[in-house]
Amino acid sequence: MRTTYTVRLSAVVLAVGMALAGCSGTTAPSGAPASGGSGGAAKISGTLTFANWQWLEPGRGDKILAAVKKYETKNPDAKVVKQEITRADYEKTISTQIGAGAGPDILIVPDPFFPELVAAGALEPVDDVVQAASGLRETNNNYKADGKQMSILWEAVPYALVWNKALLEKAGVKPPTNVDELAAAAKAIKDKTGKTGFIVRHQLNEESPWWSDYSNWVFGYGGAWSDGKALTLNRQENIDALAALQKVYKSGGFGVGDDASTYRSKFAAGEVGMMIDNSSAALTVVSKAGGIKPTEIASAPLPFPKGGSAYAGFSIGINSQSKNKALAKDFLKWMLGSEAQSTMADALFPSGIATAAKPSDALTAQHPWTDGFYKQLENSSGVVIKGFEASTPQVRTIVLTEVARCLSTGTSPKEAMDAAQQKAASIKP
Amino acid sequence: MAITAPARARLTSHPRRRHRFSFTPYALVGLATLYVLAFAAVPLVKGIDLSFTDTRLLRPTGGRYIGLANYVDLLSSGSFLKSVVTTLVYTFFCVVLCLLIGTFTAVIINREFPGRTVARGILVMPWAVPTVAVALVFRWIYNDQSGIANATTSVLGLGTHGWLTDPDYGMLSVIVATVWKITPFVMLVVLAALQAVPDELYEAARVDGSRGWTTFSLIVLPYLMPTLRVVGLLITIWSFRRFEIIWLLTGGGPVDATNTIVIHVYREAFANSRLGMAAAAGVLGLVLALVVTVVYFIIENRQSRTAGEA
Repeated sequence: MRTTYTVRLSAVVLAVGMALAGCSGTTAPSGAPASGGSGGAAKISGTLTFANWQWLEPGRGDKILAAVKKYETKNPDAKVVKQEITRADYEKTISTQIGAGAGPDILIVPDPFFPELVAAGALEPVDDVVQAASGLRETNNNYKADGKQMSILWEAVPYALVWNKALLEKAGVKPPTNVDELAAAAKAIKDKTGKTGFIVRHQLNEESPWWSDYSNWVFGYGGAWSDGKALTLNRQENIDALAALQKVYKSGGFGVGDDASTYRSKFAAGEVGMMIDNSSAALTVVSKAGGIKPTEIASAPLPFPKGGSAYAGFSIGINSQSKNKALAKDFLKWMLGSEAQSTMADALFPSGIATAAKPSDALTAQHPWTDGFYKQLENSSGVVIKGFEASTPQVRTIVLTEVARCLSTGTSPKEAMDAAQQKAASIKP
Repeated sequence: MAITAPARARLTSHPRRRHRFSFTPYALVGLATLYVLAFAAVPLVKGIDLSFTDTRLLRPTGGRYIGLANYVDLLSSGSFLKSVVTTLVYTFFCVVLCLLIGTFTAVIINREFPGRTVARGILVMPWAVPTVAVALVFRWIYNDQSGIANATTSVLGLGTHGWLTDPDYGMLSVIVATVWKITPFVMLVVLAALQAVPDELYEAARVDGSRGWTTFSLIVLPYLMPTLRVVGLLITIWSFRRFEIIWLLTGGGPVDATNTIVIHVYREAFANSRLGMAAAAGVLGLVLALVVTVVYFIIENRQSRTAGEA
């Protein structure tokens, strides 16, 4: 009798102990079954740190975080914690953290940063995540290396020409469809309203995002940074693109000296007539309280002859040093599910996301200015230099230094691009 | 008079000190040595070691030794040599202007005048303001569209300029902001030195008919020279390694016009992720700073010797 009681007591203690262990918040080992997309049997618990500069974007960061946090409803044992890093400091902060053997579990990877992270072995392959997903965009293939899927498209942010309808009307100009009209319209706005006519990034202290912005001009003129084997910095189309930017810069209506955060604030305050910017920046601008309203702006494809443009591409990846890889993969599987994708389409509106999920009709109707961006997205390319992926930052520095020289001194576009080609001669694929 | 033996013994023998071994001085010196080793010597050696590798920011322990390749690249690249020249130009103007304006201001506020205490307080303020705040204020002042600098030059009929966007004005703009920030330090130190000049010297000079500039150059300046030399050395070293104000104002631009060695190092390390190359640039910058310091001490020694012989 006593023996039976002891066995029963031991069994109860063991069961309670196991139950408590199950609630203790320990993370399952890497490779454990997922709870996400497939709704697997075993839950994976823990805290995921998620690095992204977008948490800091007014009117957008909160929505993205809310969308991401829905994962916690799906997996109550998990917690997603944001890691805020400003855009200007993002790559260097992440590099320093990962170089020190730490870093976030999940991170957003700007396209020019992707080759470097892959070369350093800093990204965990996510083939098993994408195999379980359906309806992925072709763009996701850009994030493969040596046949392995290293990250997944987070958002493809298209560019367009955006304008303040009232200011253009006041200046008596129509939305420009080519560079001559753009320069003339910028001057007219400045002369007739006293406001800045046109602006786009043009300074080296915003080097990384300026690269995407400037690539619009090059791709719009049919240019390219390389042919895959050699750099083609001084090809005629690239020179024409720089001449076009120079023309607008010297039009008398260009907002020389303002960085992006300054001119976006000015645009929101109705102080800028036109700008070339990406869709997420435009959304942030119209989301500012008391600023310009979504119905007061409009957009159109870029006024360049060949129709091409860049897109700012960002993917989402897992830090290979993360101690929560299984949980991070589970999060990604959940994110690629149809329900989460619909939520993400709204949160990241009006960008393209990993799948073809569409934003809600109500949101689209609320922002009629997005047409130009969607049209331009069809004809856009990434800004990592083909064949020179890991050297893109070095080429970028050389090119943009020469572009800045051309804009601010008497150097001709041809001289500037020839100088860039010569300086980059030692950079090999 | 005969001297007694005990008295002789007292006169000839020194009191015998008992030397007991103590760990205290070793501990105190040891702590300081450890601190220097940990935070200066070891990083310096590591930095020199790094400069011979192709280490990248994302793989700080994964670099391979590549000999002198980084140094060859740097010394054969126009951009690094230009950054050396930029550093020397920036340093020269910062030192000269800070010393001149700081000394002049110190002489002015050393005199008695109503509101002198308030004036001293106001003049010291730039030194107390954080550098980031100074940079932000100057960015606003220099803004091409709405800055007060262009508003002023416009009113004066001097046109508008790209203070932070035109390579011809970038260095000037950064130097003005730096001098505004650093001059109060010179003023304070020189003011302290001025107050050490004996009043009798002024009086004697006045009796001899000396006035104004003559009194300053012949009486006051020799007193100030040791102080000015030390302050000059400090500002030189600070200017060589100044980062925040330049980075926040121009990021090394426009078109590399303010790309000093320190900015070059930062861009190599954090924009191009080339830690090895950045370390090599840092080592060359250190050598340059050492050369300047050694030249300073040689001049200082010669002048001390000359003064001693006189």
